[in-house]
Amino acid sequence: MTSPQPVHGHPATGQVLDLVLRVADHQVVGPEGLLLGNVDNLVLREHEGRLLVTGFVSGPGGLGPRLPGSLGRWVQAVWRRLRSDADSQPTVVPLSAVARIGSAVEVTRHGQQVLASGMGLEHWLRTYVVSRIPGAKGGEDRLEGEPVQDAAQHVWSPGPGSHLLSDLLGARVRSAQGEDLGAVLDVCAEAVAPTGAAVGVLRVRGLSYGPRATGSELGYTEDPRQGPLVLRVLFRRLHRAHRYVPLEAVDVDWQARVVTVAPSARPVHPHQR
Amino acid sequence: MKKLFALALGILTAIGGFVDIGDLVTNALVGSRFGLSLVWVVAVGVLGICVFAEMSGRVAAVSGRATFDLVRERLGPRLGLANLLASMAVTALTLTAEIGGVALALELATSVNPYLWIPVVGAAVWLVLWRVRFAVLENAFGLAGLALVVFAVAVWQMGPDWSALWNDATHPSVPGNESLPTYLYYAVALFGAAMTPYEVFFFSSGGVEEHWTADSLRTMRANVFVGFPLGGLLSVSIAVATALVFLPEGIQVGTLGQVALPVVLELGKIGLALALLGFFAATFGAACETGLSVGYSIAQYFGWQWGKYVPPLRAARFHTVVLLSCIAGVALLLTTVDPVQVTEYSVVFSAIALPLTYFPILVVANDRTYMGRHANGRLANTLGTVYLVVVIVASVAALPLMLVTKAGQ
Amino acid sequence: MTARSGCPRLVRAAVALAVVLSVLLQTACATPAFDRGAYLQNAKAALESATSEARTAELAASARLSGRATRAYTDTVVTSSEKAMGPIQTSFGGVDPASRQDDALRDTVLGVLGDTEDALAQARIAVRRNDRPALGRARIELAELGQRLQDTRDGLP
Repeated sequence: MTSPQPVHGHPATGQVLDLVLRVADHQVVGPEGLLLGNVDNLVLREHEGRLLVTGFVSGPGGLGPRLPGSLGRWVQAVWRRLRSDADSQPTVVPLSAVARIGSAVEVTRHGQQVLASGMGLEHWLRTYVVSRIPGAKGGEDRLEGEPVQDAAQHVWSPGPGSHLLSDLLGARVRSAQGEDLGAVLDVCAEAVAPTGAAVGVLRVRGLSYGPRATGSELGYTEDPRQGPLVLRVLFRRLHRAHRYVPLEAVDVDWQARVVTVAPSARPVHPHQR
Repeated sequence: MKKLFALALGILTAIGGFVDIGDLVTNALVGSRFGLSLVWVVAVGVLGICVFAEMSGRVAAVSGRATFDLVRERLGPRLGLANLLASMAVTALTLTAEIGGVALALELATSVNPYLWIPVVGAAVWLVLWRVRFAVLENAFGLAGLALVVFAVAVWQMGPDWSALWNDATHPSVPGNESLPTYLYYAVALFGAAMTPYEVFFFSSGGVEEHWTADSLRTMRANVFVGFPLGGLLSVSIAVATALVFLPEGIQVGTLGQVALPVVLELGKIGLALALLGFFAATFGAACETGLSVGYSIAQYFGWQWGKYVPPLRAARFHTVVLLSCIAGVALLLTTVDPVQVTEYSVVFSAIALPLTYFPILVVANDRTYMGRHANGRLANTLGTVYLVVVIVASVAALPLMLVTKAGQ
Repeated sequence: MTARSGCPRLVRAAVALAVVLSVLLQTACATPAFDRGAYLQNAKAALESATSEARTAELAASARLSGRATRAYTDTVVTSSEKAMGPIQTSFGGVDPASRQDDALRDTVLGVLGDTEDALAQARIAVRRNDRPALGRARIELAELGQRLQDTRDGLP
């Protein structure tokens, strides 16, 4: 077996995380360093007036909603057709099964098993293609094949109070007067319930939004010191109208994908939050 | 002692592994048409690949993340996907050119039609990727690629007027019978041949496969800053050899056989044998690297298990992609396209696609959350910014120049 | 990033691909000669390419004669030079001369191109038969043709 993949970066507990920059689209790594997928989407849940990040989705079911228009629908449709059950929903890994969030998202053994149960393509290719080639090895043990007992718990179901991060990203942001302020670009969250070795649930604190999406995931809007100088200046100028606003000061209409900023709110540039 | 040996081995394989079909063909062609007036581009390209590879190697060592992993993370799924498709198309084109190059090298050795060799080569490349360990692959082909040193020996034997050569190289001008757009088109091609994106996918993914850490940075830098420039010298020696032999005769290089001719004339059959060994090793090694790179980039975008450090069954999707890309490369060649022409296009498209991966790496190498004290310093950022401009200019200029010059005719 | 910004990007990629493909197709096709200048340009290009092939084969043949090259190598080089002559002749011969006064030019150029192809074929046969005297004769012929091609090219206005 390989030695554990070195994962550097910050521990997540008690710290503020920009979900798009620091969590979404990151590599998911198992306890032994196996590469298990990408964080394709995050699951948000409304709970007692708070918005919590409870888990992440990996695979086409989570990626589809983040791809543009018909390409995204097509990816989801193909993925659904290939699933055995007719109306399947993407598998969710709870954040209680996430050990660390660094340059990769490290999951626990439980998280690895949940993810393995969703890897249809890998298992199909393993069984019907690669294992038939002479010299194939490494599949003798059943490390990943272990199905999860309570599979139903790990499925995302759309419903009142249950959302995906992609529902919020790109949503239009309006002032109380109806003026268009741009689109939601990033969501800021903090760890509230770290349990032992796990990251646990995150609470959403606020949103970043702005009229220009180009380069908003590069990190210049979050870190005022990131170089090189030319790019720092360029993106600071490009993103000068970007604003951060606490979640309490906005009203989210999930159906219409519109976020309204309260008149009393004092949005600041993300550098000044 | 053992450490020193490992360091020397790393540098030697970096030299031998630097040259691929793109470098062979483009340098020989440019030497025969433009003499030494474009050598400065090789110098610019080699420094560029050093800057790029050092950054991506450092990011891979410190953060454990390879190139396409970061492309997806920093550009998001949409732009990342467009980037993936473009980079993969270019890498697959390069793979096709390399497989064709191996077949042409075998044809020169046996005079058996290359189209009979192509399926055999495709199968052999896949078999090596399927069965042979990463380190063996890298070392064997890298060391055998050093045989290309015969070009430098041949130039030495010709006993050229060194000061005139130096003067030509340092005072570049457009030759009288060529137009400025053609000159610039080949400048872009030569730049793309030196700075091919797959080299960096392979380098950084290899770093992750070999579990580099911050302690590996010194070795990595030695490989890059000693190995790559010496590999670049091999490229230049090919251009000098063809410039000396072909330029006065009005011969324009269009086949791999012509590339070897200066060595054959000067050093005879032993020279020919070494040149062919060098061609074979350089193209076969690069075919393996590009084949893996296609798999790396798709797997890293989707987060799939990739690499040769896990048993094949653990990375079924990755190995399927590698297998399919070998089949696709062979299929494209069997449409009877000329591998040399595929090479000429692949280096230009490499230059076009380069900013797509260069830019995200430059950004992440500056992210202190990941990189800590290993983030880009002032020198890395100055060079990194200069090359960002160079890479963008080359990329933007490539297509218009291709149109105007009818692909360099 | 908004949902709208993704689509035009894909459209742009598709447009770029279409442009690239059309360029590749255009470069593959011969263009008709619009005027005398264009026709002369065609002739020069054909003669230059043929000179390159003739001289390559000549060098390969002399390397073989002096024992510096293997049979397989010389065969491959000479054969690919010979094969290259076909497209050179078609790309020039397929273009109509701009006017009657260019007919003579057409005959001259096609004549010397044809002779070159014949000489290359003889060299190829000699290499494959390992017939040294015949290869020697073919080499001399190729050297002369290289000069003739060069002179014809230099004689064009």
